[in-house]
Amino acid sequence: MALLLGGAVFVGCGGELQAPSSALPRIGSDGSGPGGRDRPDQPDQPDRPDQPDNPDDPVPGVEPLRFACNPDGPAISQSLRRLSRSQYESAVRSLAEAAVGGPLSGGDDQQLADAIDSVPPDVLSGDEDYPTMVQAVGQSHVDAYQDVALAIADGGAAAAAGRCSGDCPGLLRAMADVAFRRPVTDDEADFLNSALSSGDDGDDLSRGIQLLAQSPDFLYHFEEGEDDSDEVGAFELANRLSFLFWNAPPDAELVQSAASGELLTPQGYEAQVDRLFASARTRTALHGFFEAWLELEEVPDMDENNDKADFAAFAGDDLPGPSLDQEMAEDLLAFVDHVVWTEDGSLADLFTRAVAVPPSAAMAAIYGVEAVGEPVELDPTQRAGILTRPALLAYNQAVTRPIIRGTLARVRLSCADLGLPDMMDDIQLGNQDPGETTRQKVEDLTEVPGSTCQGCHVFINAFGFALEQYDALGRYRSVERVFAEDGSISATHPIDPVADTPVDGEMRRFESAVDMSEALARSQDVERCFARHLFRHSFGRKDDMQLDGCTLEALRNDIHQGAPLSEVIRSIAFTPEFRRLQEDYE
Amino acid sequence: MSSIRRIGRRHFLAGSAGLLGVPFLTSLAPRRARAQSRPQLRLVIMGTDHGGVWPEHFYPEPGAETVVNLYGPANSTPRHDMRWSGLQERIEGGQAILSETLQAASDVLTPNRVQQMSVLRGVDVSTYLGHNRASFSGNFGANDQGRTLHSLQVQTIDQVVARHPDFNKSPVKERSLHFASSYGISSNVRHSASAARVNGSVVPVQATNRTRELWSRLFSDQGGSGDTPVIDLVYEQYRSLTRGAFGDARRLSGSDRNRLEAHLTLVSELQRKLNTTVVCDDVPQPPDIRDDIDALRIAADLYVAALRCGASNVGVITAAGRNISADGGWTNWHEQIAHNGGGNRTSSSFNPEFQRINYRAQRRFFEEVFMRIVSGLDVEEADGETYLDRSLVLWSMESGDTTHTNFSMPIVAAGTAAGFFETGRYIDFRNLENQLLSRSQVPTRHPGILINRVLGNILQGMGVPPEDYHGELQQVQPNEFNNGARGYGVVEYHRDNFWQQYDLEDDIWPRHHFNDGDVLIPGWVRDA
Repeated sequence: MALLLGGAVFVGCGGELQAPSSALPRIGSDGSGPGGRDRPDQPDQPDRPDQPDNPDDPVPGVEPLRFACNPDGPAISQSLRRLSRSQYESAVRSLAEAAVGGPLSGGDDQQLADAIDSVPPDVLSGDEDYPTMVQAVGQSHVDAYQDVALAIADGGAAAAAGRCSGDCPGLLRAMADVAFRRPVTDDEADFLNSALSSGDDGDDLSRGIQLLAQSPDFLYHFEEGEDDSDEVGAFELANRLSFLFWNAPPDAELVQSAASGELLTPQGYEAQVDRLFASARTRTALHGFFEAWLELEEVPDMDENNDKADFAAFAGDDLPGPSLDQEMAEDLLAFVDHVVWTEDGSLADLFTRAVAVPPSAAMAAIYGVEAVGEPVELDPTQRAGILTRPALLAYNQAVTRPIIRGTLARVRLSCADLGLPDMMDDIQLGNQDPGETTRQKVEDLTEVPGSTCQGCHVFINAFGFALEQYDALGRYRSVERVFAEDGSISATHPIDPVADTPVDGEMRRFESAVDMSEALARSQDVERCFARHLFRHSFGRKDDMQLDGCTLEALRNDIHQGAPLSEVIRSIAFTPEFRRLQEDYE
Repeated sequence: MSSIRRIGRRHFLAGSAGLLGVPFLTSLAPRRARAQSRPQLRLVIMGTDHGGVWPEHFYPEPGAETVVNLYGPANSTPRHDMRWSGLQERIEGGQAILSETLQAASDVLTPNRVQQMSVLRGVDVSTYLGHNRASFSGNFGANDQGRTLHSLQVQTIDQVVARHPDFNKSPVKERSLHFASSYGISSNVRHSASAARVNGSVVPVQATNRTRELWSRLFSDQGGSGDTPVIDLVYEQYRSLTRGAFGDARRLSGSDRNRLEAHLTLVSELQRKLNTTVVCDDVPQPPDIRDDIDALRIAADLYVAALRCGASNVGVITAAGRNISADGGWTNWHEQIAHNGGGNRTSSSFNPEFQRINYRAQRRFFEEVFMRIVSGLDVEEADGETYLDRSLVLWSMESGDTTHTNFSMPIVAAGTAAGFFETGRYIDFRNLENQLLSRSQVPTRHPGILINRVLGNILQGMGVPPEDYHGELQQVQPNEFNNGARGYGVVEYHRDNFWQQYDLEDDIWPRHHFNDGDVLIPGWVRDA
């Protein structure tokens, strides 16, 4: 099977699908069937296969996701997790502020930022398509942790020494409470005091701060519970809650709630959940989730090819500025914020709402509106939800990438496990024939009846074909313009967005991108997939569809019922799993 | 026309021992003692993505060839003729030229330096490459395939060497240096090209893409930071925690304890570094730049300075095509250049301009990074020998003779590693008798030698005896090791559908390729 990503040659996955090959859509000997039709001679008069005779007959496809809920099942065994890079950065700033006794100065903040820059970025697990942070710590982490520790101490030791008032051990212990995100024990305090030995308060506290910033309790999420309970303790719960919503250590009020025991009461807990959740910090922190879910870091540098005649002619008045890629990402996040927080929208709304909050005039122009920084309703026949946003459509060439777009919908948003393609060296981006549409070129390459490529691409291409209604800048279009290298238009073709592909095991025909988005908004695969992404973000680990089945199913059910997405996110704090302690202690 | 001279091989018994089930490693024991008596060696490994430079643009024209049977005497079986000829540059317009890719200014690529280099052709990887980060350094599992190969991660050879107890003759500031440009799919700083085994687990060794950070690690505080008391306390804190200190409340699972033990190992290494003083000449602080050819040049200079003063003896550099391009940025190097210019030359969509852009970028890397390091080391160290004489500087790519293919990984080497390797040769391991791969778009493709054997030879050249690197294969694939597999790298045949048209195990790389993985390679290793 060939999986052509953005014109790249990825060939394979035929026969390597997770689903048995017998479950794949049948391709007729005449080339009919999904993706198997012969390409029509006239692109504006497509010869489409018939819909399945009986729409009730399930059309086999990729194996659907299934969650198995066993309330009496064992807790998952989970190794000690380190703080993610963003969590670490928040924790560093908390400790630095504790050291200086208040907000950081601009200089100290910059010094910290420079030091933190040397901390390796988190790497996502390479064994699947869903993001799970690789937990391994390497030498470069440990070296960088030391650099950051020195930077915190450089900025904070003198200020801390000035506040010692003859009790540096007491001050160090107070900072340790912040660093460890819980009250330190007397044994721990005694150990930390061994750093205070030079007789110079400044030097002593510098060493103490460095020690704190490299401590296991600072760098890892320790959870040990209390007594023989199978639930986390009060401070551990405070940490879980704070990192869930703010991706940062608990603030003083949450710590106080844990210390007083109030947090372990139903009322006290709900009050803290409500307080944290209502904070603007939650929205900001959740941007990290949406950025990861939608892979917003993949938005290309849009101005990269401004000097190429074909791209410049294609872009016209919308020639990208240097920050258009960031503006596209901001635009999508502003849309998500608006739907989730302002409209109390559901997951389905994220796939269907025709509203935008363009962050710049350039983005407004792409949508064909004038409003900037405020919600504006778009033409609902042209835009529907996230898949029709420029950030997920953009490419910095004059051509689109239907396979990249289709893969996002099928793999990223539907969690289909298509495997990875073979790597053949004899297939390339489709030919440059201006007489063919981009769709036709992709079909030529990946949907040859009987080819190994076809097996996977019947699940991918249709989404990309529907999204051909948007050009490489994300502008709505009804005609594809083919540009020659010198910028002249060598051909124009009408867009043919109609495509067939299985959704939830049933064959669907998309009449348009909006129609496709509405189909995905109702897809149970999409609902389950989102539940998995949200689980992984919330619990900081890979989900297990069996052992975590109850939590996943609860999330899926709320999503399916159309609950506001904000409520779905908030509900995580009330799942039994959220308080559950890992097993496997010695 | 080549003149061909056939010679046999002196180490037939050793080479066939694996087939016969006779342990021959004991015969290598004296080598260990000899390795320990060798001078300080240095290893630099460089990789660029994505490959796909066609053979005619990368390899020199062969001269008079010497032909030997790679697997035994000339007339024995298995029969696999390989060949070498002398490297000879030609001068045109101030350029010394070995090939379209391998060329540089004639005062950089001097005749003397050409004679200290080797170009290897026909070094194959038996399994999936796709997008990989470290196939050229032994960790085939660091790729985008997932599943099978990901479970077969091993540490890269730079880490095997850097962590070998006999390698560093005196304490180093950094066991290994890692610099990368950040935009490549494979050379991304997020996807380290190196991996180390720490407490049983293979973990990435992260590169930096910042010149200032590289400098800072090496030269900002040559006398040690003076903060060792703190790191001693940090170490004690982790050690105490793993041993149950700080009260009974600290309950740790076995896996938690392993994770902390691994962290403790890394703190110990940091402790060692902070306690190490290496005196280098004053190396001025460079500008803080990243991700372009200037950054790579500075990194090369810093590597040279570090290698010459003993701050480190191992270095790895990886670079993305867009960062070394001589023809514009090409954000999407992968799609625009690597595929449309590095794949099927018979396709109607093939654009020869993209192939040209590809090899011009690789040429730029060769001249401005690889040769910069080679030139920097081509300075007398002691006893009439240069640093380069006692080094092995390697450059390879992500892919072989076309983008994503695992045949003929291009390899250029410089330095003899104190007389271990032959130089001044263009060595071709392809078995020209085997025509099974000679498809139309790559008419020169023939099965060659497996990289597992090349990597095993490199490790031996760096003074790591086979018994000291076998542990990786034994740990990851004990059955394969027990079945006689040797060399460095796992035993895995390509499983994708496309390759199933070939019987890889019988027709392309029969099992003896793996089993002879420790055997020294004729034509490249002097004692072979």
